[in-house]
Amino acid sequence: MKKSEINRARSLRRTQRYRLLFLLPVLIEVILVFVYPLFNNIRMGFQHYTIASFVNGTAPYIGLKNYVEIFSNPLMGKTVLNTLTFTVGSIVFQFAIGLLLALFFKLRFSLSQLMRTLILIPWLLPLIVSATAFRWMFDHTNGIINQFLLNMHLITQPVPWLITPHLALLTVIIANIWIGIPFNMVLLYGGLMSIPDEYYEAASIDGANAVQSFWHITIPALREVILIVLMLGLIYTLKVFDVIRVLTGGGPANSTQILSTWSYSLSFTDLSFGQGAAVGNVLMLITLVFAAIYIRAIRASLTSSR
Amino acid sequence: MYFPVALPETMVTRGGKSMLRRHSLLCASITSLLFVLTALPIFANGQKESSSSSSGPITLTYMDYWAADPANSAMKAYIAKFEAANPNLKIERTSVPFGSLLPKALQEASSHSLPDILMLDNPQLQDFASTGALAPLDSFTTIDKSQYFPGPLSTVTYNGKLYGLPVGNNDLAIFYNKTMFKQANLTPPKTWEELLADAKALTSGNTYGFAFSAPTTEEATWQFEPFLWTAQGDLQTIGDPQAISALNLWVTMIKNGWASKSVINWSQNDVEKQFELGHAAMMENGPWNLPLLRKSTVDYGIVPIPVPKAGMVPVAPLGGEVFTIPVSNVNREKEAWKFVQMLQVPENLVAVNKAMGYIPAYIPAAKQLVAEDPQLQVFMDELKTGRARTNILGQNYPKVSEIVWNAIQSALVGTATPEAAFKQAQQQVNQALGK
Repeated sequence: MKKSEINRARSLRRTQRYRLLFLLPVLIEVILVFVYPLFNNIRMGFQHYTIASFVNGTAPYIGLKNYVEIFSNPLMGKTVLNTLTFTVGSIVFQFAIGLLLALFFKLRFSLSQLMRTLILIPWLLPLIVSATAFRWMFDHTNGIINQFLLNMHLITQPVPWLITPHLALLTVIIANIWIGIPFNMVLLYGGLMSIPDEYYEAASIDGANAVQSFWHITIPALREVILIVLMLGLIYTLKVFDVIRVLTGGGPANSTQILSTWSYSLSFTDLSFGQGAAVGNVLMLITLVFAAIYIRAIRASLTSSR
Repeated sequence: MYFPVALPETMVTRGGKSMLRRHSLLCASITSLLFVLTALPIFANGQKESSSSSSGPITLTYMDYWAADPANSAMKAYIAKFEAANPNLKIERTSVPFGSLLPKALQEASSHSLPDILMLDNPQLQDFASTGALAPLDSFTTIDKSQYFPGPLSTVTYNGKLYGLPVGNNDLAIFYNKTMFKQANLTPPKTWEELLADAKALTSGNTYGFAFSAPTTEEATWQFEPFLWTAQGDLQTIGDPQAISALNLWVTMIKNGWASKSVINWSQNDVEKQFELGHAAMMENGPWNLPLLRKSTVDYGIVPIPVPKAGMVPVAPLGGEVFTIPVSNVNREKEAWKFVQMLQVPENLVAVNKAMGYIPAYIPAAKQLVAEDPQLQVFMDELKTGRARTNILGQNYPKVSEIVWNAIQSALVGTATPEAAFKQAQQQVNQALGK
């Protein structure tokens, strides 16, 4: 090779080394705070972990026994179904309402800035606070929601929101939708703002109406943002814990038990930490599948849009 | 929450292969190294500070979950008294929320940094004692067991040895609204029949006849146990007719509307509020509510848990907390023992228990407190026949309790009949106990 080529190769490698060095602090933090507990959990899934394990460090490996036990538990089917219902129900409405609100705020009326900031409040409030407020709002006899519906003559009997199995799941979904709307709205609004007005002007010159320009301009232009919002929303919702824990604790009769709350209950109520870790790993796998889909879709959209 | 990050193009398309792929061997080796590392107990050892022998006061660490009043002030007062009487000892107290005590204690156990004195909810002692994390009391002293109520003492006994002493105990009884009973010309219930009849008569408008707590936590099992055990049923035989009859009592209340359906979401605190506000004519609750009720306008009375048939004896579960001494070194344990021991002096027991609405397990102190506060008489009588929750089930209690409270809930919401719910629970209990 010519000398100049060798020098260029060397300086490239040096730059690469500097890049790795800059990454090092972040890598260490990620490994300690994220990767180490993750591997720990995977390992715990294969162990018989009890209180004694915390004190003495004894945690015998029992192979797949924890996984066999959780999958043969009739609660597993119910929990997975609840998780899916909860996730899909939350995402669909969070997204739809978030999109509607984003479109609404595109109109840029006088108080829109203030209102947009206020809409962020559900996202900013600590989940414990919102969940506790919801718990009392949805109370059967004393809750404000039932009072309101009764006074408006929309119902004749107070609705047992949190104390009937099928209604309880619906109620926690409603609470979660309220909490998730700001996240969707903010991202979709940002995406909407980046669509050049010229597209809409061109469309109106061609005679397109509102629905057509929405369908053929807005949605395709928002494709990447929609992808991000849906996938991240999915991953966050799969992890939801506080809302359900405070609203119903997983009840009544396990009707709002999802994988995250079940994992906690197995670990800290039953004190079977190995099984709790196993359920946690199952949840992680499901989340990983969606994360992989997300990364692949992002990659595809990046390469296709070039 | 992480902000959404779209992968930068450079990471994706560098000459067709991503940077990650090119260093795949490096990544694979890091991954496997990490996996091996986690199998090593490198991070599992913390060191507790060894006490300085002669250079100044020894600081003893103490953890409890009494962050709220009145227990908080009561503990602070006792600690101040202890420090005044023992100038060479200082107590460093940590109060955590109720649900955080167990996780924190486990975390400290694994890093060998448990406090010198650990307060536990009495069902938790069995688990901790079985791991050898607690010091048996016979290395410091011999306790005259006859001076203690047997039930509370059994909560601190493991394999025949004492591993702590009760701070105080509580149980459950029926509070009734004297005004409502007078107006309806009723006497407080003694049997289940009377309980149902009184609840029926007193349900009107916004007021339910009876209120109890049956949420998705230990509180449900705890509230059910008086009825279960008084009917001579038990948790490990939950499928038997006696247990089913106890559940039937509750289901009848809910079905007929004599108790609110919301009980499956109410904690005992919520139940107390309902009673205070006049939304419930009777409630099943414990003596710790007395400080609150006294501040309210309700004219209340207290009767023991009703029995299925006249002549039977109410059997209530024993609540309350205990002081334990985690194992460290002999000298520290001896100093920690002083803290536990001084509380057992009747004067101190009475002060703390009175503030918290508890009853001492030490019989002379209990008698003294009840003499000062006759409203506690019913609770003290039940203490004599009370049962520790971990009596038969020991470490299996939490698992079995969860099975039972889920079964109770499914019967209360109507997804299963009491018989079906408990028969299924019996199967699950047998499985959990490995039968």
